[in-house]
Amino acid sequence: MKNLKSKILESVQKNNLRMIPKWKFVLYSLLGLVGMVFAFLLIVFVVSLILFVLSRYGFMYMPFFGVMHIFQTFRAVPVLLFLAAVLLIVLVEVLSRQYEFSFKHPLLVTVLSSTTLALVVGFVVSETKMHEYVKMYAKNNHIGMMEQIYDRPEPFMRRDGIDVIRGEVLFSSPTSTMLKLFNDVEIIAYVSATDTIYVPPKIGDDIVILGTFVDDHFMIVRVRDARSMHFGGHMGGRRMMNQNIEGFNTMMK
Amino acid sequence: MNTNLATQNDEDIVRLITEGDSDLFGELIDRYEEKLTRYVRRFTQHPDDVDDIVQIVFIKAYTNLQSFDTSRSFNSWIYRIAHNESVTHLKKKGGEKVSFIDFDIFLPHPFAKETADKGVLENEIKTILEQSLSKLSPKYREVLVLYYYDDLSYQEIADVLHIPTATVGVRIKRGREALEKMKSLQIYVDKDE
Repeated sequence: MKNLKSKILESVQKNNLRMIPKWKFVLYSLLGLVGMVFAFLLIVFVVSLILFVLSRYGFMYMPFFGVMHIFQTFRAVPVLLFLAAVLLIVLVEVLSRQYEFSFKHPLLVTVLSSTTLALVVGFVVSETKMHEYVKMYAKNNHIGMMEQIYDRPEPFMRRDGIDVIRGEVLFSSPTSTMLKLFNDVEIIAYVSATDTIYVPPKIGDDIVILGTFVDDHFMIVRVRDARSMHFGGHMGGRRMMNQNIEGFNTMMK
Repeated sequence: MNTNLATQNDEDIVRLITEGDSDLFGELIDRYEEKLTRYVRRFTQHPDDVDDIVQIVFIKAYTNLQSFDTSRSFNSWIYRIAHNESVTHLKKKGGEKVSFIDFDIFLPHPFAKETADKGVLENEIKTILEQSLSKLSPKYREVLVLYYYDDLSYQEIADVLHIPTATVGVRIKRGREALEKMKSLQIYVDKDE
């Protein structure tokens, strides 16, 4: 009976056992790497899309109207996109686990690192014009599915009826404002309660209105300038509120 | 060339094989056959299948030799192949539940240094390990075998199992605790008898 060594060496000599050429390993390795990078870029796209949509429709600014509204921001996160981002994070984790930089660290650390990186890069991308161009491309080329992902998300399990709209002012009066939303839908917001602090915004302003939908009407609770809340522009928003209050006081006089 | 073989390290031999001297693979078989047979036997606990598993390990090592980075440790690389084959075998046999993804690789652990008492307790642990190997879960059995019988460092075990180095420390500690528990139970049973 042959021993293991002679059996294997005989197979090698008879050419029954051959080494896989190096280029194949290089190719597999490259494909794995490309797959991992592609999956990560896809996460960045999805995360930036979520942030972009939340920002363009005003949900991102809800905490500026009061910290308790932060849950409404989370409720507005599109569920399918969120699930896609989670699945992609899992995919990146699985693909990267064969590399030392990944398997030598606890899973929690690598998952948190890739999630944080995706959030930071996704936020930066959401602030660029990229998604505006993609949406415009989808609209011009009638790519329905692409257009749909840029539509206004329907908040999940809304309980208190509080909602938000953001858009460009098309028309403004002391009792109402007409806004054109990012998805080109036009909405008229009405001043409802007597205690609502409201000063008619200027035409062309980019504003965020907190309020409630009553049938097809949007009833205003509070109004803020979108740009003033951007990138830590909280103080700017407060300034506008003060101007509103001053304007309101002047009107009352 | 063969006269110098004893002084050549594994990685140099691999380099020579990949450059065309395929007969030198026999030297690697000489160096690893016994070690891997011992490792596979202890880890899988299926003595009848050990020779087949070891043969597959060497065949896979040869066919994939071009993928080996000679700046790394060949020892860890071939043990990794043996680990994969053993796990595949255990899963096929289905007798034991093999789950290597669990909370100890999920959460960070304080880095456990390689224990200074290894030398002192080694013989005692080896004795208990030999008696209780089949009762231990494969997850702990494997790290203890690699550490106490095959003398791999934490770093090398981490490379073989693709887990964080701190997790190796945690598994060795838990495996030893399980062994100690078995030992105390055995003393209790012996006294009763």
